[in-house]
Amino acid sequence: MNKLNRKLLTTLGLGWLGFGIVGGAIAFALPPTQITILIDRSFCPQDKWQAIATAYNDLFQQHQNRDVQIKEVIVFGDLGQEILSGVPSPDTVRSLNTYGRSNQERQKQLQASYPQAKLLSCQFQ
Amino acid sequence: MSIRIIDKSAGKLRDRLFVKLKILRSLWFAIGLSLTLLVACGTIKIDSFETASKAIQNDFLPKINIEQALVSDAAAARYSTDSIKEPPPQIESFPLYGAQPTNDPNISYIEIFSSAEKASGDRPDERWLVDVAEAFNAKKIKLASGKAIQVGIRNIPSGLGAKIIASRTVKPSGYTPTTNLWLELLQTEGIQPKVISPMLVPNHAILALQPQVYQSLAVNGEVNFDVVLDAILAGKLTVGYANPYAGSPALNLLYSLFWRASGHTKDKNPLTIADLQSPQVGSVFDTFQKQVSLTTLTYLDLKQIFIRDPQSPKLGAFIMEYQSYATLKRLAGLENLAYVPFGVPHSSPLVGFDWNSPEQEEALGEFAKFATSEAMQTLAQQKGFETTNYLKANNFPPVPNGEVLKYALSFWKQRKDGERTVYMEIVIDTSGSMYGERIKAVKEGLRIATKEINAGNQVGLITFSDRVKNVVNLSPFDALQHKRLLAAIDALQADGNTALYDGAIAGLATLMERRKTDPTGVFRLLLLTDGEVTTGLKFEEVKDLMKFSDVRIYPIAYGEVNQQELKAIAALRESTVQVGTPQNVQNMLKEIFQTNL
Repeated sequence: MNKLNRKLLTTLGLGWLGFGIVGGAIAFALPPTQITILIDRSFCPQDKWQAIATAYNDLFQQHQNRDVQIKEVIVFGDLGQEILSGVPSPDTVRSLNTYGRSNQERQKQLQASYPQAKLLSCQFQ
Repeated sequence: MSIRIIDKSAGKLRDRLFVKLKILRSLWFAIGLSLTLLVACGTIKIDSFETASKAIQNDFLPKINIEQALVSDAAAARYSTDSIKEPPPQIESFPLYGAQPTNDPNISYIEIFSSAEKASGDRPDERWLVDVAEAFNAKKIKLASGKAIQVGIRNIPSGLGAKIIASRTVKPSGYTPTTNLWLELLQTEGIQPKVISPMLVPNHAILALQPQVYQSLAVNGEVNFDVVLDAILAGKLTVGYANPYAGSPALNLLYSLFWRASGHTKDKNPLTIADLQSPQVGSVFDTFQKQVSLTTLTYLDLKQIFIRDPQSPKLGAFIMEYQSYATLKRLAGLENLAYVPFGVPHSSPLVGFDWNSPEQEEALGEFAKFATSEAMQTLAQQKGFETTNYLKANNFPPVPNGEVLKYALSFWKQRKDGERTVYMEIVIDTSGSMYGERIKAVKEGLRIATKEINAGNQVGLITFSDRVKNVVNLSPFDALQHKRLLAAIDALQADGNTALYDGAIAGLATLMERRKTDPTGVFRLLLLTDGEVTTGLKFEEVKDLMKFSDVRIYPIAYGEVNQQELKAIAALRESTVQVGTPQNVQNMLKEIFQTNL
């Protein structure tokens, strides 16, 4: 009986260990996609901005679920650009002031610097 | 034996007395403690809006006799809001330095209206043009006709100078505003200034930045106007601003903000009215206004508030003239004050007008030659007028058309408060000492100032002498409320003592109650007095109530008033004392209403 128990425990333990190692290897070999998010904060009417905030919220949830990893969030407009510290909450993005003209030149420069970046802009919606 | 008996009874007596004394002392101690506790529990410690409001309602209002002397709507209906004519400001209220007008046939006298940053005779750093005029007059330079030229300098803010000239009621020979923007506005009134000298002294507008603000922005590289503007719009920085109708840095910032928001930095085209109508430009303005923590009558008020509290979070950035900044930085503790330049240069052009005689024109030319001489320019440099790198770079926005500026000014007036309502109680001293010219000038000033109130904002009127009278309830400003105000102003009469703080507390009480239902509102109290408190509450009793009221108080010292107490009131709520006289009160009230309402 004891022998049987020990064998069972060993099999189970090794099974779980193997399972863990394989899982870790998969996680190591296939990490979640890292993304940079570019948010265009030029003037955007409130209803359209809500759509941008919702799109960000979806990305944020994926980040929380480790489906993707938000590396950095950059907000930009006609007057300047700024890398936000940490990953802002959806509420922070929802309450951002939007103002001024859009700046296509700056947007292109940012997209060239961050080719994999996800752009959130209400200018072409 | 008998001695022992006496000793024993004396000891007993002593013990009994001691016990009695002990009981008595304990009793007094208990009574004292109870009284102290009673007093402590009955008095509210004022350290927040809530406690201040509670104290006013429970402890102060019951002691103040407020008479409800409301103007009836029937009486108000007799007044017309269309018939308010605005006379131009009285020129005598602006000081004249240098030579005085004369009938001497051997002298050619010219008077020049000059902006304050170079013609404030009582301020050593802001009187360059007065020094120039005095040196010029001493030389007795002669015209071709043989007459000696004498120059008088009238210290008058650029915007007001332009307004008086446009009214054509006073015709000065020369005008030297801070910037060309005012000349463009003058042209919209049909006046064509003739340029005598395009620049008397170099200068430009700046946004002064607290050192820690500058350092935080410098982390990402060069700090320029765009960077500061972006930080303001992103909500990281609050800004001190002034009335753009009156002062050059404020007008220039308004224009620069619109010009930059319109995206003309590349094409260098001037701003147009169509630009101002775009939602993108409107969004920049609205967002900027949300970050304006203080709007004063002139930038000099901001400077005064900043000197009083250099760490004030409300003044992370504030507008001023570069030359004024250069002298401000010389003060101990302000050495690290930083700045960013912006806008069109403030070159102090000197212009004449078509009403000048050839002789006056010649005199202006001679004076301009003298003012721009090397010696006078060296003197200017000592007073902070420098050719900075910003001026050397020569990369400025173009000077816009006057019609565009006019549109921009009315845009500011209409939209400056966003969706917030401004509530103002006007609290006016009607004590006996106001009798005669004083009350007459205040009535006239208030009547004209009512034209500056934006519809929807709320205004009430309270008077005080021996007692407090509520004459117009705090209500939204519409045609009827306007008429109520006109009727109440017309009925103001001077009589009795000065219960200044009773009046102030009555005004605060209404505003604070209103704040409870509209926490996003903007609350103001205008307090005009011409004397010391002679009856009612004292400053020490109401100081904390004012401090925690969330109401900004604008004290006007009208006449010979001890300003110390009013200054203390102003210091409680980021304000300054305005000094009024029957000559200047009309314009002062108009500007306060224009700026705040």
